[in-house]
Amino acid sequence: MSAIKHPEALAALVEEHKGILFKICNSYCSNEAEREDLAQEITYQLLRSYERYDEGYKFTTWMYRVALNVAISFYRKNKRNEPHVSLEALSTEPANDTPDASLEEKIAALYRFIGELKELDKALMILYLEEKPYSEISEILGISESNAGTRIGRIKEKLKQRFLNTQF
Amino acid sequence: MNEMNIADIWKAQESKLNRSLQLNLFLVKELQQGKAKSKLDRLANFKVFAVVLGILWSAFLGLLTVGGFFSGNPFFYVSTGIIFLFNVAALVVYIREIAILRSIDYAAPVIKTQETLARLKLSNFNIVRLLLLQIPFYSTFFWTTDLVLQDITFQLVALPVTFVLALFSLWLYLNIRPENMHKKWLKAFMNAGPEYRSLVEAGDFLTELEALKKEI
Repeated sequence: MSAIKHPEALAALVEEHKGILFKICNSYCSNEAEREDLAQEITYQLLRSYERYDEGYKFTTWMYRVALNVAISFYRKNKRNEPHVSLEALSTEPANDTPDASLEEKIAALYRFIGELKELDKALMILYLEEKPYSEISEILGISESNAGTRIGRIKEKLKQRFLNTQF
Repeated sequence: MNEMNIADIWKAQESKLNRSLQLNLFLVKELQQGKAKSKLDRLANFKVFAVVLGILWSAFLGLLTVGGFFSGNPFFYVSTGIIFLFNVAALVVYIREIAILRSIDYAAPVIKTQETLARLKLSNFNIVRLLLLQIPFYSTFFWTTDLVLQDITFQLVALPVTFVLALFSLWLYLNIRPENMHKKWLKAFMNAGPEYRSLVEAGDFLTELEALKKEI
């Protein structure tokens, strides 16, 4: 497909930032098959959008925009499946390979709680946890910085409450 | 559990990512060969299929209208002609939707893209409304001047039926709107199936998007 500019260069960039895909897929999908489908769909849309990528933009900002837009659309299309993230379903290493099983449980719980949020709140929380500054969150989502800050504050409060009510 | 802990848990997965995630980049080759297909594009493909059916139906109506014109019964060709025009108008709206769907920019700010997608979904209401306006013309194509002017039974039955259908379709046209989508009568009318649910969800999502844009 000649219209795509340097797809191999994009592949290398996506490989470098594949953690973004991993976290978004885990936050928006309830099972392994859906996660794989979403990762494939995001990669497809990244490749397709790459020809219009303006290099004046930070690559990760652009990648977050595409990945979140695709994830939200995908999630809304497959909404009938109830969000549920089990420990086994998470695409991290198997629990018996890690020294801290309780950490595994906490990661799974965090994804479960994020999974319970509305699709746009999930996006806000992912960006916050990725330590994106409000200016970049605003650029990715298209809302004002003050709005992003206020809403993140509310979502954090919800998540904290969910953790406080959970026994590990 | 404080804020710091949540951020720490999130960061704790980082160390495992690079070892555990196998990113499927075979898509690069597939896309270059034109083999890769998008699941999100399937919606547009379904719409293309609907457009093909719509074109066939409109062509049939067009032929009936032309044939009716030469047969000389104005009630027939005016009725089929008006039905034809409503169907062509719906087709134009539908084709416009496909064009927008195919040009969706996933690299635009999330709220903007999602708003476009939700509005596109809701525009199905407009197609339904438009098509409902043709209903009374299905009850007029068999009319003749003799029936209208001389047949008492016809005047007592067919004319009032057409009049009621005209009022009913006009009322539906004015009231089938996204803001009424939670009303029971509309749910019942639209059969409240999965397609209707997705319209309602699109409406709710749009409200959510608009709320997110407002300053708090």
